[in-house]
Amino acid sequence: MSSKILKDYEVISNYIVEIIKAQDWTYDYDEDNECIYIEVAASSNEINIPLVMQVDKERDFFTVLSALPIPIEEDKQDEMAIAVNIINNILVFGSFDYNYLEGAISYRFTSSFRKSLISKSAYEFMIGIVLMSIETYLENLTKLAFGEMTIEEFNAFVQG
Amino acid sequence: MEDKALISAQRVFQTVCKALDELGFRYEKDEENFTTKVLYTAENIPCNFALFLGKNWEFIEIVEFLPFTCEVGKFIDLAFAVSATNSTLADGSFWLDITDGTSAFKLTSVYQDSLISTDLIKYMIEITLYTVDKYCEKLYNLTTNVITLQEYMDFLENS
Repeated sequence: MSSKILKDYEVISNYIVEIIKAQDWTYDYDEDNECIYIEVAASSNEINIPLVMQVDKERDFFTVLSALPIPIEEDKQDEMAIAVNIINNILVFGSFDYNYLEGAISYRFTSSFRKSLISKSAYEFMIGIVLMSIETYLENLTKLAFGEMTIEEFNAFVQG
Repeated sequence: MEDKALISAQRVFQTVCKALDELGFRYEKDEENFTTKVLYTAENIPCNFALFLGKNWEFIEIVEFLPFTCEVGKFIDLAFAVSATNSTLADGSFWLDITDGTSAFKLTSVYQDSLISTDLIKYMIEITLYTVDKYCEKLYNLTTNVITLQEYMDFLENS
């Protein structure tokens, strides 16, 4: 009987799939790009949060990207740029990224595993913190984009 | 901190210090608060970064403040620039603090129940120094009207 010694990124990919399955989330695996796609229902509103997870074996890090479904009109660009900076100033994990030329806002989380042994519980923590970070701010970022909240109110919420 | 978390933090902090030693940095360390502060110069500009461990969660964070302060009148431009820059980065992020005009770059790694290598810490330091070095001067030029936001975005697109 032969046993295969898994490489670090294979171990981590297995962890990620196990964590997703334990949550009963459905997922798609893109073999070409080695990405896992999932959508998680946000508890605070009716929006699904799309997540793209990747174990980057070239650069030795685990990354989660979420393109947030927030339409940003031209007259809200200034406020959105300020809003993501207000969040990023206090956010411990990941960042909200906003490219005004593309009109897209996203959340991005990265954690390195270079020559290290990162536990499954650490990845459970990371995925949990990603969802918590997005859920905390998604609703009010959407309100800001739709003019239902001012930047001052948004700032007060974040500093809350 | 609970005993297990404290032992883990002590072990990771030793790894942080070992990585800084191996990279040849001189630094101040606060072993009670698991914090190191590093002073260095880049092109004759005094710079510094801090590496510390989280208190409530088990993570390592590196933060480098950019060596300039932005005037209120340039907040919007700098906010656009750093958030657009972030959208091009693989790891770490810049932010502008609108309360005082300071800007910084940070990067984190989670170490819960894990064994962290000096290579991981070195990666965090090297990517921070590289990223700050790459964007700092252009961001400063933006805040001092040497370049426009469009010119910064062109730089971003071509870099």
